[in-house]
Amino acid sequence: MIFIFIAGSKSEEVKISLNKEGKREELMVIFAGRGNDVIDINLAFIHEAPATQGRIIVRGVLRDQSSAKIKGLIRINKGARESEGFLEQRTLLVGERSKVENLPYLEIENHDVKASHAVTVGAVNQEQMFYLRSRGLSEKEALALLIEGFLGQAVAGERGNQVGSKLEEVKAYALG
Amino acid sequence: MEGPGTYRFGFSDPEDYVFKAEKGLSSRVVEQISHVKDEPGWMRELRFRALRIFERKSLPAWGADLSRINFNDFYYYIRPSDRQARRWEDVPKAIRQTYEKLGVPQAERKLLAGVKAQYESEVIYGSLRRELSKQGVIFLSMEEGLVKHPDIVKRYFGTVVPPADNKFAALNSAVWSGGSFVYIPPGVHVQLPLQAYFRINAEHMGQFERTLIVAEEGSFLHYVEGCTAPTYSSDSLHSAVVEVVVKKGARVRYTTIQNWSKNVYNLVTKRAWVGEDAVMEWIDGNIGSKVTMKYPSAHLMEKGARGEILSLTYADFGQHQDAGGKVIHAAPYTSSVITAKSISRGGGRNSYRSFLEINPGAVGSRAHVRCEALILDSRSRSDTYPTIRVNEKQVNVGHEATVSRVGEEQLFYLRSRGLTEGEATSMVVNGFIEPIVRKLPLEYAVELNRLIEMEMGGSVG
Repeated sequence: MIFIFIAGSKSEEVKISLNKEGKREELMVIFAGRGNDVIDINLAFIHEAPATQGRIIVRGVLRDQSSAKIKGLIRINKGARESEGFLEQRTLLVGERSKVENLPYLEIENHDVKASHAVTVGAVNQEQMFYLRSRGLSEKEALALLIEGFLGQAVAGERGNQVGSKLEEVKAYALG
Repeated sequence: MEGPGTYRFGFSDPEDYVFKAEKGLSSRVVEQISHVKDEPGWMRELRFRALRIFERKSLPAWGADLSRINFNDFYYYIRPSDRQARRWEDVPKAIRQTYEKLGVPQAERKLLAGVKAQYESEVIYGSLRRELSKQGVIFLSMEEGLVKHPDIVKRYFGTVVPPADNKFAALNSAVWSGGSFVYIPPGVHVQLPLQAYFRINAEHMGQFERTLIVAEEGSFLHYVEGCTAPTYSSDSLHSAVVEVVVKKGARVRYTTIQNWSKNVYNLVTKRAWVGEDAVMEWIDGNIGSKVTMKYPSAHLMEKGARGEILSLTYADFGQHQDAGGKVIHAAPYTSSVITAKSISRGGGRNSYRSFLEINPGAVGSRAHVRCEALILDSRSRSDTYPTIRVNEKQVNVGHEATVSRVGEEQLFYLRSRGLTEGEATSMVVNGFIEPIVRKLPLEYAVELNRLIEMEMGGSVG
C-alpha cells in the first residue's frame, strides 16, 4: 500500500506498472487545499501482466478558493487477462469558490477483466451538519468533525503510526 | 421527375442527379450552393464566414483518428431531383424502393406525424398530418423553412451551435444542405414522433444536413432520426449540425439510430439550449460508421432545466465509436443524467467521452453519470474519458463506470437451458441494452434489436 498525503499546492504524478503476473498494488491519496492552493494529481496504473490487481483511492477537501485537478488512469493492456482495476475519486467542496476537475480514465484492451471507477463531488451533507449542531456543536466544530470523518474513512485502522500522523497533518491543514 | 426504373435490391442506385457541385471545397462551391438555393444575403454571408473559420481551424487533437480524411475528395452538394415531391406517389420509384429496402414503414406512415426522407442532400418527401398543421406546427426542410419562415430561422440559426464551435460545425455551416426545420408553438403537444430518414448515396458524397428545432413554452415533441447507408469502397463523410431550443416548461426528445455503412466518417454536432424547467432528452444510438465522433449536448441555461442523455454504441471490426455527451449546468437547480452503454466486439473500439461542468452559482444542481461497457472478445477495446468540472459546492455530482465481459454464470445458465453460445450471448447483450431500447418508438426498438441480432449473428453463426 502506497500513501500520498498532500497539504497545500502541489503537483503529484504517480505511474505504476503492474508488470508481474499476480502483482497487486494499492494507492491512497489524501489531499487538502485552502486559500489559493492549486493541487494537480496525475495517477496511472498500467496493467501489463495477467491477473494483476490495482486499486486507487483519492479523497480530498477544498476550502476557500482552492482548486484541484485529479486525473486517474487505469489501463489494462491486451495481455493482462484476468486483471482487476478500481479507482475512486471523492472530493468535498467546503469553500464558496473552491472547485475540482476530475478526469477518471479507463483504457481496456482485454475482455477478461474487471475495471471500474467512481467519482463524487459535493458539499458537506446538510442533514449530518444539522444533526451535529442540534447536539450542541458549533458550526466550526461540526464541520471539523465531518471533514475528519470524510478523510479518516479512507485510512481507517492507521491511527497512531506514521501514516496516522501524516493524516493528522493533512486534517490539521484542512481545518487550520 | 421519373427515377431510373432499373433499381435492383443491390446497394447502390445509378446516379441521376440534376445538379452536382464540383468536387472539393472552395468558395466557388459555397457560392454555387448558395446560388442554387437562392438564399438571402445573411445566409450567404454566414456560409462564407463559416468557410473561413473551417479553413483556419485545425482538426481536434483528441478523439478518433481523422488524419485520413481528405476534404477535397468529396462532393459537397448534390440535389437528386429538381423539386420536392408532395405525395408519396410522386417520389421517384427508385428512391421509394430504396426506402422499402431500408424498411421505412410506408404502410404505417399515416400513423406517423409526418415523414421527411432525405435522400442525398435534399428532403424529397415530406408530409404532415392535417391536424398538426392546424396546431401551427411547422415541419419543413431547412431550405423551405428559410423561404417560408425567414424570421424564425434567422433568429435561431447558428445561435446554439455557432460556426466557430468546432471545425465540423464550421464545415456544416459553410456547405449545409437539407435537414429539418421544426417549430412547435407554445403549449402544443405533438403526440406522435416526427420522423426523418437520412441516407448517403453517391460515392465520395458528403452529407451536411442542418436541423433546427424550436419548441416554444410548454410544448412537447419527440423527433426521430434514423440513418442507414449503402456500402462503398472509398470513405464518405457525414457532418451534421442539430440545434434545439427548448423554452420554458417545454420537453423535447431527440432519438437517433445511426447505422451508416462502415466506411463513413460521422462527425456530428448536436446541442440543445434548455430553458426554465424545460427538459431535453437525447437518445443516441450509434451502430454503424467507420468513425463516429458525436457528443449530444444540453446547455442548462435557466433555473430547473433538465438534460438527459442516453447513449448506446456498438463497435465491430474496423469501427471506432467515440461518443458520449456534454452537459453544462449554468443555472441553479438544474439536473442531468447521462447513461451510456457500449458493446465492443470483433476488434471494434468504443470510447465514451463526456464533459460535465457545473458553473459557479448553479446551486442545488444534480448530475449523475453511469457508464457501462461490455467487451465480448480479446481483440476489442473500450475506453472511458470523462471530464467532470465542478465549480460550485452546493451540488451533488456522481459518476460511475464499469467495463466487463459477459458473465460466465449467465452464459452457463442460458446454455444449460439449451441455448447455443451465440444465442446466449445475444440474449445477454439484448438484456444489457434493454433500458435504452425501451425508450425508443416501437418500430425503432424492433429495428435495433434486429440490427444487434444480425450483427451478433455474423460471428457466432
